[in-house]
Amino acid sequence: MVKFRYSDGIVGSGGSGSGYVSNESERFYYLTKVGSAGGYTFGQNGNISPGGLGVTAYGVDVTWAETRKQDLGFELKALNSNLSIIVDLFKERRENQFITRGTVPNYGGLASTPIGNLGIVENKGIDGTIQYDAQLGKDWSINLRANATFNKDRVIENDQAPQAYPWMELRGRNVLAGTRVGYIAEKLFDSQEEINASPTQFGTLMPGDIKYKDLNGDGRIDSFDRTVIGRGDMPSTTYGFGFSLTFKNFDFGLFFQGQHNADIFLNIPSFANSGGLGNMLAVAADRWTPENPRQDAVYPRLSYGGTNSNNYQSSTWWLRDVSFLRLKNADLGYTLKDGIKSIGVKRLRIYAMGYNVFTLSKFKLWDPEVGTDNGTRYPLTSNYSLGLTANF
Amino acid sequence: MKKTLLYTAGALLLMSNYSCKKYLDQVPDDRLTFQQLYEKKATVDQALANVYTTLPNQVMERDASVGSVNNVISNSGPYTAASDEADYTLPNFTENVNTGNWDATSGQVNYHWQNYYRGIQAASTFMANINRCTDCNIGGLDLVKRYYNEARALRAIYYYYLIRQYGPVVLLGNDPLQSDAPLSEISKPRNSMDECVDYVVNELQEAAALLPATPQANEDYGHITSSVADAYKIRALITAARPLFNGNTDYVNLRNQDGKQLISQASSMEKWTKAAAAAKAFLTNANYSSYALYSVAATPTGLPNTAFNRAFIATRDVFLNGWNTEIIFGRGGDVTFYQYSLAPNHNGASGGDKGGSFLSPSQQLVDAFFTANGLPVESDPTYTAIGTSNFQAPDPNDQNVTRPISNMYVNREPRFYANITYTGRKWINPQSNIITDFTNSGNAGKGGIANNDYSKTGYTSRKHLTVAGWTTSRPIFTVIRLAEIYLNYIEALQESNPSDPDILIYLNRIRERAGIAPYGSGAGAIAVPANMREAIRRERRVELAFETDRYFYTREWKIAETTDTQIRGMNITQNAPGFYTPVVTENRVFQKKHYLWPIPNGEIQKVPMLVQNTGW
Repeated sequence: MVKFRYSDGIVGSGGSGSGYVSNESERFYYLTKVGSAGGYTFGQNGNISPGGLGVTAYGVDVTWAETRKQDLGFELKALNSNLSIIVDLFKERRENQFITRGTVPNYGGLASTPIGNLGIVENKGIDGTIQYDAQLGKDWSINLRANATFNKDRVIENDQAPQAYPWMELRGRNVLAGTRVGYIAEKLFDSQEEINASPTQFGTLMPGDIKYKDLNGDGRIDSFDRTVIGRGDMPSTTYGFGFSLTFKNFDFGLFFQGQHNADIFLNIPSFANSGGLGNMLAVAADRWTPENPRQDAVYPRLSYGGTNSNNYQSSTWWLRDVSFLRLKNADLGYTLKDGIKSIGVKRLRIYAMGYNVFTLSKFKLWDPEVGTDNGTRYPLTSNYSLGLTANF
Repeated sequence: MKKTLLYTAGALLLMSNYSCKKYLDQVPDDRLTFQQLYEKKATVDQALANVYTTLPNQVMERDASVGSVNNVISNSGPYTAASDEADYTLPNFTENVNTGNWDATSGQVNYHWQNYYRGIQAASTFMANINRCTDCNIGGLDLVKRYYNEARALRAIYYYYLIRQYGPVVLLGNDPLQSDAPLSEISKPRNSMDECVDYVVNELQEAAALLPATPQANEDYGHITSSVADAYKIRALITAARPLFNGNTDYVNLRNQDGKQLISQASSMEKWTKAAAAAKAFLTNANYSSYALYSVAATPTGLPNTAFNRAFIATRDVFLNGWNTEIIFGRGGDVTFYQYSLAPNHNGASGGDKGGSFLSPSQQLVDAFFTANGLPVESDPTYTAIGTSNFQAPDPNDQNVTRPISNMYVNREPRFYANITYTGRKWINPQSNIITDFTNSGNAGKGGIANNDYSKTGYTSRKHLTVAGWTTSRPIFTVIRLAEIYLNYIEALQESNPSDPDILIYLNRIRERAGIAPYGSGAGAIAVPANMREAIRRERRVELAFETDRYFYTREWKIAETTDTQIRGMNITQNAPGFYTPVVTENRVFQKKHYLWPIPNGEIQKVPMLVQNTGW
């Protein structure tokens, strides 16, 4: 049996991005709002201090954002329904998105940047599921299943002024790319000579500090050398696959799960400023030192005081790929189909099961699936169980 | 089931109302609207306070990166510590300026630009709406007119602050900007410097004509009066006359896309003449006759009543004694944030006697003060920097003992003692017995301090510091005082008519109040210097130290390339005697482009017809 589906529709949404009105200030966009603002102190004894009142937001003529959602589906059931394939191609385009105007010059002196129906974002992708059941002879049966989702989102319009260099442009990038703007870390400086021969960076540099890439080649590292260096923590691809196999009274199954194309910015000061709660003890000592000038250390050189701004810049040095593949489920069972009559058990299954058995990932500091930039979140647990199921 | 029905009915009812436009056009009734804001004096006063809030607040300058404290923006600028008079130990934006580590994308470059333009928009909005006030006419006192003109003057003052920082800017005209105006309508090229100055001067003149001359009632203090507007007018004119903006061929290529020259290429004597005339008009204006240099008739208990000591008290207390006769403009509000930077971090002390030591005066400034003989240290044969002498500064409650003091600090002019805390000086608080010591293991030395709370140069400033210690505030922080008008006047005269006798008259008034010998031929006078421009420059440098004047002076006179190359100070990692050998405490980066700040990069991206300042 083959089935094709197609749906197409437009939905409206208010609120800035999320599609619903989340707070009071968003309910009255059309009104110019007045609120407390900077004040001043007058009087011979400096005792007349009217708190300031001023415009806090400008009334704007806006309407709701419109999202067109399209979905083309394909379903196939074949081989006596033993094979099932479902594929969906989807596309979502949101226009008139509420965003703050990016092209109002600051010399206009507006107290806040007005919003407008200005943004356009697009998201398209494919989602597929496949399942296959087969009886292989008398003793063997197998079930195979897999699913995958791939999506690609893109900012079409964000009302930003044209950027000085193409690598600073966020149009054409994915939505979260704006959270992954930084410098490209090339290496750690090896020597003072290398520092002297390199573009100027931030503050006084010493060997062991991060060297950044001078994208525009002007001999200094500044915000013109920042570019999109990551995608964000939403993966573009998630997938899963697995099987269950039955042989006579034994059954065995595995299910894998994974994500691809996601990254995080590490935020792990090795020695936190106060209290030390943010310390990353596992790798605190893994740093560049003059005795052991390793390029692959987690940390650049240790510096004292708050004056080393160089190594704190957002850069690829602190960016980590959190793609992973994990064995989510594994189970092995043995079933006594006839049970143990003498004690009234009609059917008995003995099994061993594991949950979150292992993970393959380049990222080792903590579970890559836990959404955190410093590991301070309760990790996913691994469970192993042995069990008996008895039917009476 | 019943509930579901009820909800459905409710939803249907709502939907039936949906078409009724009135229902949707609801206005929240619990909040002040823009319309109401300008209808009553109570809220008009608050709107006016918001127009004033953009005035730069020197009190906050220690942390020039602070956006706002208690909802008051600091807008302070890095001026004191990015000039050759001092350095901040605490790393802040001045550090970026001093090391050349800043550009058109730096946050502070946009911060001031945006703040001043917000002030300009707030003023224009206020002016366009104030006439709707229904109760602003109190017993014949027309506050509508007064407030309108205060806002008008403030708007011109904000342009003045913009142009001395960024050079020629965009003039927006009288009406507030419409928030929904399209970019094409807002896009404007920069005006020329001369157009900007003319606009500022005309606006200030017209506002001044309709404002009271000086504060009368208690609540008038701190408001713009015509004397304040006139003082800013003189400032704008003198900025325009100085070499940076008056025939500066370094900016020959600073032109709009249509070729319009933004900074004049031929120097004009008329600009100096205008500045001198404006200053003279201020000094001879009968309505301003109440202004006089601050002086005292007697010294406090514990300090002998000598001319020298009276001069010390006068030059110290002119900043501490409220709205005294010399103050033209001051700013209310707590000043302890600033004072904390001035008080040394005295080991073992507490409260107002133990501060942060951040603001570190340079050796250059220490050496710029005259000797007690009224001479520069270079030309006074009695001055030596080497060795020590038993000495006592004019500090009340510390007159019975002398102690060995470095000769650099011995027999200097009263202003030196009113400005500088040095090693061996009795701490300012007469109730304490602390003798400040900045040597490495001294009570305020770097040796005993683990954080940034030490002086980088072995000095702290004590101008603007309440004698009871840093924790005690006072009504105002001085912004403009009469001595500045004098100095502007004689500078403009010296350039336009160097034989005018007023030059010596007003210069000597400042020197005599400061307790040093006047220039001339009478009894007690010293010879008139051959290089008067230099003498006026030096007088200004010490008289207006720590009043955010020097930063702009060295730039507008195009001498910063020479003056702003380094900061020198005592060797704070040593004890005596090594401490007293001056060392370079900071090498500074000053290039030609640094005479002006860059136009924020974001602005140029949005409005490509805005041209960037030369070199950025």
